[in-house]
Amino acid sequence: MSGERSSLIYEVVLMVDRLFVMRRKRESRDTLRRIYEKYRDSLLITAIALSHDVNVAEDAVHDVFVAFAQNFANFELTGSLKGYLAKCVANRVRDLMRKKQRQAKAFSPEQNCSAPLDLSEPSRLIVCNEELRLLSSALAQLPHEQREVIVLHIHGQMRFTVIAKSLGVSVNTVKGRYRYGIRKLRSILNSEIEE
Amino acid sequence: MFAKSRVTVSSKVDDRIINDASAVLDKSEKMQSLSPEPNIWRIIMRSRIATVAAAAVIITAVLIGINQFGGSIDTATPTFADIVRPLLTAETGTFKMTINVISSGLDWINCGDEPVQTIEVMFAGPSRTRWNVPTGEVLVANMQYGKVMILMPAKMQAAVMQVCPPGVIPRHNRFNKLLELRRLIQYALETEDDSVEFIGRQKINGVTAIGYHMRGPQDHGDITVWADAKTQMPTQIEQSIGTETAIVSDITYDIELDESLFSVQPPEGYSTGTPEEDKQPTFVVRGTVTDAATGEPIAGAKVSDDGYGPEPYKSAITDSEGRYRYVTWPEEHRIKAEAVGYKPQRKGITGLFHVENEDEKVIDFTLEAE
Repeated sequence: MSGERSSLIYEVVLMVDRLFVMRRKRESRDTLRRIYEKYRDSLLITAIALSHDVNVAEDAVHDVFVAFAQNFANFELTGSLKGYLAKCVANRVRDLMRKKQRQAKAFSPEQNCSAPLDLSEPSRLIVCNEELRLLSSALAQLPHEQREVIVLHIHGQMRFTVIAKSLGVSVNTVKGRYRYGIRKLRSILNSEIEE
Repeated sequence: MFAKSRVTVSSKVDDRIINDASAVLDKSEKMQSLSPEPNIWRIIMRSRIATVAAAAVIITAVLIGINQFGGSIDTATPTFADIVRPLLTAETGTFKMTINVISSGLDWINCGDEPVQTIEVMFAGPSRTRWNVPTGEVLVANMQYGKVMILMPAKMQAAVMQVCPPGVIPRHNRFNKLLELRRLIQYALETEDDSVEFIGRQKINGVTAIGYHMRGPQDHGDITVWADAKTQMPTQIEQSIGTETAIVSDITYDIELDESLFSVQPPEGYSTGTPEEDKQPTFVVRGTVTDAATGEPIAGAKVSDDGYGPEPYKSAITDSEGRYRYVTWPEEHRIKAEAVGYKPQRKGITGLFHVENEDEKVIDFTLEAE
């Protein structure tokens, strides 16, 4: 019976697929693509600002969207989608950078993983404009914790309370990181402009 | 500075991310459709309509064809051919069918642990069958029109699909499996299958019944037919293959069945899941494709619906003046222009069409050399 049944089930699957699943799938794909196109640049800027590395940024955005697609059917948005995706990208960037650091140490303990990259190189798949390159270079000189808070608050438009909850630290800690980070960032950028 | 930050992203990055995410989405949706979420696919699977459909075809075939077997005969009891004659000659009928699958082995369907359900089956000849499942869904297969319809009364949704040309009963169409099985049974009869044996009397549903057992041809398992000892009318048929069993009971023969029961026209008030193929492209998209550097028209450029839009994709080739025009789907989607030696260009998916107010859109492309 299995053979017979599975064959006929296959027929029914095809039928139902054609009538309903195809439409739903297409709608899901379109929706996913719309979301991607709407937030792609913003998320890449977030990732580049955090990592100062277009490859890590691309991988982070890629991984976040793949994970997002995986849970797309059950996804329930409770706040800002942009904020949610930015938070996911920030988390993924952190993971990828840690991984990269570990690999760099394994090959060459002296090598600094945040070696400057030419983000404007035309042959790259993602090219940054002058402002983003400057910003990314400056942010790269900050501790990752401060960088994260600044990027999520200013670019991701996330409130301190949301960032604090996301990072699992107090609001005062987040505000402190932001304050010190901004002060240092201002100093770095001013000195670069003076130069 | 954040506000002024910009990135230029290659389409290769988009393709990589979108393709991977879409692949995962497809896989996820496939899994989703098998999970206990009340979507349409799941409703059908939960109702066991697919399982039952398969078994129903097989059992219907058995109902009609089983008495073609000969076999060992106890002269004191009705012969096997005698008791199954009503099954063979019935033009119409109804029965209840219960499927019990302990271990289906079909992990991808994940229906092995679902509770046993009984469905009601009606049939009129080999071409028309109707399955009513306890959860309310209905499946009508009417090969006179070559159509199958699924009704979901809870959602007031109907789906109709053309599965074969009207009036043609495909030799290997699974919805007409009974004809194929009848041929198999006929073959077994001609080869004088000696597996049919009398297995005695037993109380079946409170009625004394006489039973015959047979080993079905090829992979159709063991089949037992029980008939009322007094009326000699078959009352129950059991089929088992491995750990799977199907029981057909409460059989009626040659009863009047309203033709409307086998209609594949959705009842009034039902929304229909019209197949995408039935839709027609009606939106005109036209424009020009020119060289970004020189402004010269590009002849022979292909302008087409981009991936992830409605299918099938529509396209056109530009003429000697770089003009193109084609009719596409009246839904928002992307248009791509490509030509040899140039980078493809896409126009955004949102806001491209305003199909409520327009039936035509001019979209010009300026392609940059590679």
